[in-house]
Order: sequence, then structure tokens, then C-alpha cells
Amino acid sequence: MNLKQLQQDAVPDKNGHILAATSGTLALSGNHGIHSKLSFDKLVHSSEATEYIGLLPNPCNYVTGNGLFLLSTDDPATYEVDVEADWTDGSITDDPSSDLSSGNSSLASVSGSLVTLHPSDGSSHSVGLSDMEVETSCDICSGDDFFANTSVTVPPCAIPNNFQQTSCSDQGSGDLHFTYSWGSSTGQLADLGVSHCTVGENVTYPGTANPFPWPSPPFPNDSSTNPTVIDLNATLGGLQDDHLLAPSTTFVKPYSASSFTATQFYRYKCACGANANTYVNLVGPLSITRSVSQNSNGSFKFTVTKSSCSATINPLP
Amino acid sequence: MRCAGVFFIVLLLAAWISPASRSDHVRWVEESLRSMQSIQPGMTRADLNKLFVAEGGIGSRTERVYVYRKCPYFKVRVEFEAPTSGAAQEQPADTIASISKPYLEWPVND
Repeated sequence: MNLKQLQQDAVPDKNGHILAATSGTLALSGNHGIHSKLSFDKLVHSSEATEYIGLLPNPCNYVTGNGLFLLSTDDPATYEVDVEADWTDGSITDDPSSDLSSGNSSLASVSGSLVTLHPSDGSSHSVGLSDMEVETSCDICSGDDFFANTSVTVPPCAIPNNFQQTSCSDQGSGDLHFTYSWGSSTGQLADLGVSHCTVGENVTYPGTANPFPWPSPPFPNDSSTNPTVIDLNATLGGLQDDHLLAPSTTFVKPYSASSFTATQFYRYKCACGANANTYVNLVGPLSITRSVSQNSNGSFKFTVTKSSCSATINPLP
Repeated sequence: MRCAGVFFIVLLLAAWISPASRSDHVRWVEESLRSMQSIQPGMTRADLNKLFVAEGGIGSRTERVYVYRKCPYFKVRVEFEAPTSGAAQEQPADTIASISKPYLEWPVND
């Protein structure tokens, strides 16, 4: 019996009334009253879902519940929110949320199935996330609304701290090598990623020429990007820095005493806090001085010096 | 020397170079490009070091600019997978997570 068809065709009952309602109680009887034999297996419960009459050929598979899960992305501040649905046949499906909302969009903003955290102060915050999905809901295989909730923790705004030189060494061939380390104001380096922090350098050379040409002779016919600005992801808590001869390592004759000095700042930048999106100095100015000088025996040597550490080529070939 | 010539070709469109010489330079750049593009994510830092060398300036175990050994004006920015151990020291077995397209830039030597 197709109730939808009865409605659409305006089929009257024995009293001439047509079936107008989409819910309620329906009484059925045959032409011979109690002597009529009626049998049916299933009534379709809504006017929208009456394509099917009778029993399903196979047992219906439907969703009994769902939940939300956060998946990390390349951006440590952003998660993809997936909906996990549990089905009566034992299967589990995962799909990106299609209707996600945040309880506090200034701390956790939503775009599609992605939620991005925005640390704002020195405290962590819990933000509720809710989702509504239309899933297959019962043994009649119709759709229904399913709601799921979870929460996400927005960590405190973190900034790098305790920046310090951990080593310096002469690597040979005029390469002065340094290593540095730092921590996080929250104690968790990972929080620096959520706060979108970088640690980097700004090195300037004499004058405004870019590239800065090294005085040659006697230095190799090299040049340097002026200024040199490099930023690195802060979450690793360490970096290395090489002051070297490149691309050429060949000093040019005639040798004579000469030197030049670059000025270096180490600095950080984070997307939150009092200095949001602004470079903050960590160490500097530091002088990186390269010099060619004459030994007492008349030969020449090259020295690069920074922070009382140096690398030398002595004598120059 | 050849690298420097290539660099000026790319930057200045050196019209004064003879057609035959220009053709050689273009072919060399093509070969270099194929060579550089042979480095793919999933390969190791040791593989990278066969064709490239780390540039001066700062870098970390997970981020570093490398220059082509045959011409240091050709550069790529390489990201490595985060180490499972806390060591900040670069390791030959570090796995490349991503590598940029080659680009041209003046040297960085700090």
C-alpha cells in the first residue's frame, strides 16, 4: 500500500474523505469487515519516503550514533574535524564534518570542516564544537538529524624564550659554525607552532648594495644578499648558523689587509601576544667580521669572527 | 664559469652570446633542471647532498635552503620530516618531506 499514492491520487475512504495528514493513526478494513483478510508487513512512516512498499530485500543498515574526531594538518594550529558514524552492520565511516560550528569563533574559528585555534592570552581555553549531520537513522532507511559534540583545547599564547648560543666551532675552509637553542614560554615547544612563531635572523652588510660585493682582492669574488632575512619554524627549539665563504673559496691576489663587518640580529615573531606579528629582538646586534691580515712572516691569513669565536685559514694559499 | 654564464643568460637575456653558445647554455640548464628535479620527497638528506650543498646562514634540522653544487645561484628550499628523537643535529637519514621548485637568488653566506 502506497500512502503517498493515495494522497496524490486523492483516493477517498468509505466516507468520502481523502488522506491529507502525514502523521497520525490510520485504520484499515476490507469490504467484508471482520471477514476480510488483510495482511501487510510494513507501513511507510513518512510521505517523503514512500518509494518503497513492503519488506526490504535485505536487512537495512543504518547509523546508531556518531562522534567527532580531530585530525592534525600541516598547520599545527588547524585541525580537520571528521564525523565517525557507527553502522548496524558493524562498519565505521569517517567523513569530514559538513555542518560544524564553534562555541567561540574568536578562539577556534571554523571554515568548512577545518577548525583553527587562535591562542589569545596566557591561559588555555576549552572551546566546544558541535556538528549536525543527516544520517540513515532507522530500519526504514530514512534520513534524520544526528548531533555530535566535542571540545578542543586552545593552548596559551606562546613565545620563544631562553634563546642561547650552545656551541661554536671552526668547520674548516673558513666556515664559522654556531648552534643556538630556545624554549617556549609555556614549557611546550609545540605551542610555538600553534602560535605560529618563527625564529630567524636579519643580517645587514655595509652600504645599500644588494647583493653586497665582497672587497676583492683580497677576498673571494663573492657577494651576499643584503639584507639577509631568514625565518624558521620555532617548534624545533634549535638552529644552526654558518658564516662561510661561498660560492667561491678562492682568495684573490694581490693580498692586502682588508676587512668588512656584517651586523646580525636574531629575532622571533608570533601571531599572538603583545607583539603579535611583529619582530622581537632575541640577540643582537652581533658583529660578523671577516678580515685578511698579514702575519709577521709576511704571509696572509683569513679570519671570520663573531661572539668571541673565530674560524681561520692560515696561511692563505 | 659556465654557471656564471648561465646566470647572466637567465637574468639579462644576454643577446651578445652567439647562438651556438646560447644553445649550449640552454641545454646545460635543461640538464641541470632534470638533475635537480630528480630529488623527490621520501628521499634522504644523503641523497640530496649528492647534488646540493647546504647554504650559509641559519637553518634547522627540518628546514634548510640548499644550493646546486654545479651552480650555487640555483636554490631549493627543503623541508624534512620532524625527527622522532629530540636531536637538533642534521642526520644523513633524515627524510625529505617537501622540496621547492628551483629558483635563482644571490648567495647567502652571512
